[in-house]
Amino acid sequence: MATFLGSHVVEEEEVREGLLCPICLQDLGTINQLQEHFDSVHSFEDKDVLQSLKVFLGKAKRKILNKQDSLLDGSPRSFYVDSSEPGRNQRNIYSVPSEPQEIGIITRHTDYFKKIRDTKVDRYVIETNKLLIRLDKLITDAPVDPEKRKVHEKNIVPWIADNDVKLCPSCARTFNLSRRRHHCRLCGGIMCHNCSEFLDFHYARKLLHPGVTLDVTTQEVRPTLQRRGSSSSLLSIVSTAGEPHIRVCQNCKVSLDRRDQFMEQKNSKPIIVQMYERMREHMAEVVGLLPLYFKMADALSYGETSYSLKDAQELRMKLTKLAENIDIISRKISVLGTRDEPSPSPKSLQLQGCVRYAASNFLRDNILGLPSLPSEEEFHKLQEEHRKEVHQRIQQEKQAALESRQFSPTEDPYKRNGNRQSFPHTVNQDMISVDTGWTPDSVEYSMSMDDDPMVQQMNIIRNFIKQAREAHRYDEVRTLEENLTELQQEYLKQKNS
Amino acid sequence: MNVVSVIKLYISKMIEESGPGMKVLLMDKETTSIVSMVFAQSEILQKEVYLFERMDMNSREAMKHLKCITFVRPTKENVELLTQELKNPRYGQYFIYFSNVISKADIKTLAESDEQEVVREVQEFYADYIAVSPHLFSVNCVGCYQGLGWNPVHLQRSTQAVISVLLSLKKNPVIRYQGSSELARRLAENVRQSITKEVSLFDFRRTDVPPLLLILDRRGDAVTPLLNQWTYQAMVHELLGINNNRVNLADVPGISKDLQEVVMSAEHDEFYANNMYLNFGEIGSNIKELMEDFQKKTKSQQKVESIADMKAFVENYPQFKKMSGTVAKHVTMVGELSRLVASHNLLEVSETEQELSCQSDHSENLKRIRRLIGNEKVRDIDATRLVMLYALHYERHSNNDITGLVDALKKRGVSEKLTKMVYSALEFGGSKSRSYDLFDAENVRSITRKVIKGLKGVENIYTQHTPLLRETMEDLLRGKLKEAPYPYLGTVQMRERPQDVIVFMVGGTTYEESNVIQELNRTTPGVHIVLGGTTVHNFKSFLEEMKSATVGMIMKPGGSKRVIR
Ligand SMILES: [Zn+2]
Ligand SMILES: [Zn+2]
Ligand SMILES: [Zn+2]
Repeated sequence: MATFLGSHVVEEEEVREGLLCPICLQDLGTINQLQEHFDSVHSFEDKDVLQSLKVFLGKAKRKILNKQDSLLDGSPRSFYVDSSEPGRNQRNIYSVPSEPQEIGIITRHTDYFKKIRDTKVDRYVIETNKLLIRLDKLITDAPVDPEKRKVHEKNIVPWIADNDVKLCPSCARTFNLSRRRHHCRLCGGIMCHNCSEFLDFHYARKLLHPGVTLDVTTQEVRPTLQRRGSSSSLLSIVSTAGEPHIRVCQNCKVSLDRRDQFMEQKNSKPIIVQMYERMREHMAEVVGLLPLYFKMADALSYGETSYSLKDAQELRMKLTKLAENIDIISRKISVLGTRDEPSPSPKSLQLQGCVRYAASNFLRDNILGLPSLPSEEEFHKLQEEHRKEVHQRIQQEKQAALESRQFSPTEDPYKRNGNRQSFPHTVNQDMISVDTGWTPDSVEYSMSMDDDPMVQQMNIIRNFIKQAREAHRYDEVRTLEENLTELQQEYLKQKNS
Repeated sequence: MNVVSVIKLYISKMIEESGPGMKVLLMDKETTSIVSMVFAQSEILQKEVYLFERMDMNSREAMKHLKCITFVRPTKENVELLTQELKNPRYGQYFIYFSNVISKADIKTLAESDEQEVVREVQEFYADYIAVSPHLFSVNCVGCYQGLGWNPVHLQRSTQAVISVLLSLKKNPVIRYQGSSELARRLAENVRQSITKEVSLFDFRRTDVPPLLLILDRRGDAVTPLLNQWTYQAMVHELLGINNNRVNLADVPGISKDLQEVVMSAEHDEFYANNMYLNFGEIGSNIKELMEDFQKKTKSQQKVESIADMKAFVENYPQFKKMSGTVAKHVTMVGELSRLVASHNLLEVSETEQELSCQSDHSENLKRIRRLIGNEKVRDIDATRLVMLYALHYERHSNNDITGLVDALKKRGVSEKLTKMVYSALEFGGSKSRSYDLFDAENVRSITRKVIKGLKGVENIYTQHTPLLRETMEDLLRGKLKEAPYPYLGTVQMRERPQDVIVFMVGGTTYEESNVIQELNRTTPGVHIVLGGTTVHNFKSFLEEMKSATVGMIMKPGGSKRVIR
């Protein structure tokens, strides 16, 4: 290879070595001329690329890389690059290959962590559940009359005696005529009016019946309250007694709020998550289908008939459609909420932007380079060529076989293959699925019993093929079609005999 | 033994364990560096990690629909921050990974603060060091000396890093250290103590030949980090500075915006991976090939007329895009290096440096240094490093003129801060801190090397010097490393020649030494060496290191010193 700088111009057109302009490929002969050419001809073009090339070329005059140049600029001695030095190409190895690195030691503290957490959390879960059971009782079958209701409430939760409490436990003020004692209906504790909280009936009902909107499968394994419906009685309290609230203390309120938040979070799925999950499903589908498509496109480009062109076209359509969906969804995610007031926080926007960026990377890496398929016409041509090739090869092989040893010409090549001979009678269903777990659904035996068993068998296989095609399992389609053909041949043979 | 791979494995595993869904990666300052050294952002995005948050820069915005992968060092501050985080969690689920051993008490504190039960995993993944190359790691701390001893913070951090390297590579080593160094001994003992304390973690399957940990001290060879470098990676670090694989080019004249900071990562840049150990001359010709490739693509881009052209172009697009970026980056980089070499007269400086480190012609050396000090093009720091090399070489020479040269520097207008460093260098790396006569040995070695090189037809006067580490390692691998200067810690001895070796340089290692190790790994079958250091030095950071080691001492010409009271 010619050295980079100050190298001699190579005369032959097709070699194109020497001091070429990287933009227009004109050969400039000397580094000075190249730089001048650069400044005059390309100074107005793409700035970034040019700038970096220019910097390099500008400095190249003072290069230290080459023998001839060091002679020119009179620097002492210089690097001498001998590309023929043995082993030079092996020197540039970033990582010396060795056995694959396995992951290092890992220490798991999760179980210990959970044990500690559970003892702490259980206490307050039990506490909260006790409150919920009381809440349920309080709003179920509550008497309308205020006095009777008070008795009812006291029956469920014993109230602390007024005399035992001199100060409000939460604000520490003394009780008097203007600051009277009130009881928490859930724990029976005492507080002043200012320190009281009130649960409205909507909230109470929501707490008691989180399951209304709850997806059963996602429910945490945790003592959840199961009680008969009581919403009607709840309504009756509100409408008749005119007091839509239940007075509680701050501690009880905090426990219930925490519970509410927890359930809320379990059951809600923000729109961005729904969109995101849909997009990921599409991506997973693309990743699943790609290897097959590559295989098909490859086979078809050689004119092989193991896959049908139509199937491949359909698969391509499907992939394009998926890619389009990924593109649309990710675009929607990236602008999600930008027209709303208030607009999303910078952090949300960053998240959305990154999702979109990752999606376009995904499309670029997986879809942009998708190999194209031959047209119908091209495919016929390719098929023809392929057939000729195969024919030729068989001829050659036969010839070779004849020449190499005495060969009995009467022997049927298929007979030697015992496997093939016996195969068509039963279709081995196992071979259809294994690698990625696809199996056709069991087929309904709708054919009449007096059909030939082979005809039945063939119908079953046809049905399988249909299902496999619908599931885009073209490898299975191929196997099944082979089975069918063999079965048909066998059938014809039997008929004719 | 590949430290880059093992850290990638750890990080991939923590991301995978959280399952599908949008994720945020919560890290501290150090773990951010650890991750960014081995993964490009786009790679992590493909693993569904879309946000990166710093533990110590708290935004309180909640995003309950994200899973949070927390990867932090097990420091007191982090445990505290995490406790606060769990009491009021911003994210829906937490998968917590500590980069090193964490105490049961800390786990208990965390568990008790997790009332909302957001934590799914708590584990230790021993990725507690910066993986620079497959065979090179760093602790990223400069200034580990405090006077003649360890800075205690850096001692602890270095111990943790070495322990983490051992656990990630699953090695329970025999330990040797540089006997002349108090720091090497202290670190060796600390590592041994930690191993004893966590003995259950170090219960690996025994190998025929036990792995070896060798701890060295930079003061045994203060010459190597003083020299200008001529292999690509080392040169970029020396002249521009590599910081967590990033190189700042903002000061380069006429630089385009998108090249102001470039990433030099062999994991993600094939050209760099293939050229980082080559010398500058070879890179020049490889850049040319790269440009020719680019030319071809550029040309085909211009000729996009037919649909077939377009198709071909689009099909090439990902590589094309990637390649043009690489071209621009390396062309700029090499261009800038050439500019610096030329404008600072680095060829002559380097030639003199090499002579100073490998030859002993006192009067000739002195003459050349004086001439270069008088040369305007030569930078102050280069003039100073020549005087430092001279001082280290001729410290014991009866006619040495260290004072005269320092005066010449002063006359040139070199700052006192810098001229004082000449004496610091003597204090730091002078003959009394070496167990080994660096320069005599250098002589012998460079002569043999020259002969060999001469035979091959490749004489390169800028790379005559080989670091002391090479000789140490060669002795070690031959089973000939003497026990008196490099004793074993404890009673365990090794009869066999070592195969898996971890070398750790207290006071920082260099890319030149990294090249040596890479070369040894490549040429010695069955041997795997990993090199580590408190940092990877260039001249500038090495000045800092020497300063912290000699702070509080006034050095007089002739090497006598007294401590300021
Ligand atoms: Zn041109
Ligand atoms: Zn009160
Ligand atoms: Zn209460």
